[in-house]
Amino acid sequence: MSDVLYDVPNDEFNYKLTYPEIGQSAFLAKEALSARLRLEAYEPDVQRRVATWSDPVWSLTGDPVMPTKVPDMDYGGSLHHPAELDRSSEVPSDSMSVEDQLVFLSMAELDDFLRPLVGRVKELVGLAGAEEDQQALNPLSLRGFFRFLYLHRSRIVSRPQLILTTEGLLRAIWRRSRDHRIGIRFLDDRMVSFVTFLPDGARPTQINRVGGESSIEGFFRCVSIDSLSD
Amino acid sequence: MISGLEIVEITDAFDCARLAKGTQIRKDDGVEGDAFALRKGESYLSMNCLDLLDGDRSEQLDSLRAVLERKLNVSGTARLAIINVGGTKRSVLPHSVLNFVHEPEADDESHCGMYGLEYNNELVQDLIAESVVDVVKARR
Repeated sequence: MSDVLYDVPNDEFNYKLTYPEIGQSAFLAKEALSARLRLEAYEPDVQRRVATWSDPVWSLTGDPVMPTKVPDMDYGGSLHHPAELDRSSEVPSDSMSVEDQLVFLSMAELDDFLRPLVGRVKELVGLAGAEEDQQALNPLSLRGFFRFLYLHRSRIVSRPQLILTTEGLLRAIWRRSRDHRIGIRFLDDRMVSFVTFLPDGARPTQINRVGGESSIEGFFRCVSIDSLSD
Repeated sequence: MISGLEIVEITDAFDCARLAKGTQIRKDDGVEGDAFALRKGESYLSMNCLDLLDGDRSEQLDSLRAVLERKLNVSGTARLAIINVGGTKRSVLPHSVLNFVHEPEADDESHCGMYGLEYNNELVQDLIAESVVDVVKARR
């Protein structure tokens, strides 16, 4: 089955895209992207062809560019729209150094929302090197930040400000005023700690100030907000 | 100007300055709470009382910059976050009770410590950051 799926006239391409579990659509969507990124890294000349192949997979609409012999692919209902995908495969793997993650992210097709954030992370990495008593950016914290962005993207209205803590953790801040701010520190690629200063819905002059810790996935179940904006 | 290592009471009217690393400064030049974070094992936060230095505010800041540059490797992106002692004390209530103590050093006579912080208390750190009254360059 994989021979049919990857019937692209490039030996190395065929070789790299052989996956035994191809019947699982979520697996395919994730691996298609990571394969494309790998190929972009090692085979710049096949980049255009790979994009042609993988974009229909990403949109999951049954585009005719997709190989036709995939009737047994089950999109499972939740994969019909890209926004509903688990896009965690776009996040660098947990074994990558900060430098490798930044290369990975630089090669990904970042949109206008993400690109400045990657730029800011690079800037912070540079600033950390110039500061006394400053730990370098923790790679798991960086990965956690991008996991958070991908998992909660639909609820993140505006780009956060980013700083680096002395201990090398990324902290994202959405700040409208001194009494309306949300700060999230990425402890690793699973957990965050957060502080929110938000006006009380019933009594706007009352500012509710809360600090806590949660999993990246569970953040919006722990805070009384629907979205993140400054 | 204080003489020698005389200990002066830090009153609520005084202003203090805390050195913030470039990594702790937002793009809008605001200082974040991490600039007021204790490191593990620390019992107080180092800062300098500007009112214990001679001259107007500009001269006080220049004196402080000179002291810090002698003591530390101050980066070009670092900033001095200025707080008012009374204002910052009030801003953290009821979450914390802060106490400012003058602790002069031979090469840093305006040095003082902010006591009452807890390690890793981000909420109080953010409250202090929001009480900052001015942010200026740390290097001359």
